[in-house]
Amino acid sequence: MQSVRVRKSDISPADAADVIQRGLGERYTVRVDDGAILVRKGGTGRAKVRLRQEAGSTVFEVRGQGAGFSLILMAVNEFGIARRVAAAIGTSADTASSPAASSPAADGGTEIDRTRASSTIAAGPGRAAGPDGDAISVRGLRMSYGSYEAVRGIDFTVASGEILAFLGPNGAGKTTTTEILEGFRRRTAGEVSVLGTDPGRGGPDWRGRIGVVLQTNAPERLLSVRECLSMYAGYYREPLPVERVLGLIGLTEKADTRCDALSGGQQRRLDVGLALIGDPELIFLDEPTTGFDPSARHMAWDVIRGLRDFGKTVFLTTHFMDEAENLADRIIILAAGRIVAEGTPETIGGRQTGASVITFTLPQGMTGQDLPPLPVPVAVGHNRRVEITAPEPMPVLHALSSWAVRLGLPVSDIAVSRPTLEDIYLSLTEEPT
Amino acid sequence: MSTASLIVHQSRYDLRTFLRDPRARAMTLLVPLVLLVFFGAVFKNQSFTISGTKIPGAYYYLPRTMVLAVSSAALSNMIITLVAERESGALKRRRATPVPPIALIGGDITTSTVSVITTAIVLTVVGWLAFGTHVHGAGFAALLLALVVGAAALCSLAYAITPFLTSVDSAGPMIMITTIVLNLISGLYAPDSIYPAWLRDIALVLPLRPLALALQAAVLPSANDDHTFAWGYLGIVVAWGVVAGVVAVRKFTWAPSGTGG
Repeated sequence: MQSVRVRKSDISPADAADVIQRGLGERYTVRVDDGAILVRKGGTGRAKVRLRQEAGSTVFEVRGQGAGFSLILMAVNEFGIARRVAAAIGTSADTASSPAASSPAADGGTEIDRTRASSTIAAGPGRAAGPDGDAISVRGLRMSYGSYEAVRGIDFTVASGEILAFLGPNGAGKTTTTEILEGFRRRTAGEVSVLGTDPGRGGPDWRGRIGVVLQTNAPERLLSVRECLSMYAGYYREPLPVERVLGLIGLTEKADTRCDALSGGQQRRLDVGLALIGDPELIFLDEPTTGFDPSARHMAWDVIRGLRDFGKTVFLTTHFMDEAENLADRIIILAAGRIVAEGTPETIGGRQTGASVITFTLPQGMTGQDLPPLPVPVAVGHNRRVEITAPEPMPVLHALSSWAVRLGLPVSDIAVSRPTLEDIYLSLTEEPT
Repeated sequence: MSTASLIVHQSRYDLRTFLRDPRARAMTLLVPLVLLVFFGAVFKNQSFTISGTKIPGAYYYLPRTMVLAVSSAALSNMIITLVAERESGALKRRRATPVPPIALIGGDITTSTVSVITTAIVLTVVGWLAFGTHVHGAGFAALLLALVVGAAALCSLAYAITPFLTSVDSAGPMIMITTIVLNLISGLYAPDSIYPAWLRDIALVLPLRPLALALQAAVLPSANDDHTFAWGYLGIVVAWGVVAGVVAVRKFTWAPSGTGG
């Protein structure tokens, strides 16, 4: 069990449930039942939150089960109640765990980080910043390997608390840029500031504020998961408790398993855990879900979204467009060492104004000649498949639906699609043939 | 956290890893033990004359099997481990944390030293029980000093060699062949009294024979003009460590080879 103490008495379960529901969003179901708050997340886990009054405070006791429980626990404890309830009523909150464990993510009696829980709540998102308020600031960055220029003068910023997806084909300069930001590689030219420090000169204190998930799994194969996390925890001044990180990454039940016995997805989760153990302000995730099955990917996405709720800044490189679309606040697309597009997942590359494509199959015996007059060209392909590219789809749809209804035609497979992020990405990064 | 406590912290986990690695255990403890028992039994009643001093067979092989343990733990096994950890990205990930390199290197040296000292204790006891070899008084201190110096110097050498090896697949056979040759010419397998003088001279400027002679002096001072501490030989080993350290500082990389782009 874990508990959160909010310094205000008489908070009702209904009020708290309302705040939790708003805080967690539609992916979670929150309802009050018999004085307790029940939180569900799809079929992956559930938690029960009971409120107890104690000396001018309300204590939220959280118990749960299921593979997704750790995510709920994180969400309810850290975000749902601690930050939102406490902030809503203008007070502070403490997080603790109890040895009365009823869940796989229970802490075994270790008290969790009271001071940091409070300070996180007090500061909220945005504490991870350089003097200019941005977590990352890059101006005129260039990097050459001999005569080959891998990065050709790029400028961008990443705001504190933002998830930025950094996309680009192999050889675009992504890894080089990321390694410069992580402090692993010296640049040829340009100005770079990461958390207010030039990463080329970042010392141990600076490295303690970043977390890195590398492209490949790098398990300490002969150590157990818990030993591995403990070893890394020892590198930091104020690490997160190992048991809490085990819960966050859903490996509590595998804590004593040796790393070389973990599946690929579990090793990747451990990689994420090792990046989180130092409680970093900025996290570099280099293709974090490569090799995951769909279920594991969605769990990983929840963890990454949780990082944003924690107020962390995330620099994400990925080849999965759906990953960028689902997670990123903003996307940068890099090609041949230059930024070719930058924007939100909805608007990047003029996606919101791109032409729609209307497709359907003509009924048996009909040809393109039978279609009504349309303001745009029509292509009729194999098997009477019609494809219409329309910058303004509504007039075309109106004409088509009137035509089909008037003649009583069965056009059941009509579909309207907007340009996908992948379409935009490919159009921006495809090399001329 | 101070550097010393970080080294202790790192050593705990490195030692645990070492003890769980069957290859490391076999090479560091088992092989020297088997060789001591084998050579000790074969040459039980023989002596080798080196620089005019007669050295009984068991007294010859006791220090040299200790050198094998040092060479295995601090050099060959260390190189393989470092290359594997570098190529898997484990070293790079550690460097992305606040831990200073000296703590990671210190952990490696401590782990090698502890495992080598443990092996040396086992060898000393087996040598005493099976072949009647005795280490006297200051000999233990001299043994300890030589083992610590040897482990540290060869660790340094491992860090210097690793940058020139790009994969575990290529490192394995190369290290095996190199160590066998080095061990051979340093007199760790066959008694070097049968070697021509020029080969012994060459071996004397390599790191293993001077370490063997320093350990020999600790075990049998009469082989070193009754001096238990062989400072000259130790000096050669230290010199190797220092030169290798300079190369390591200039060449060692934490990131996998060939990354970037």
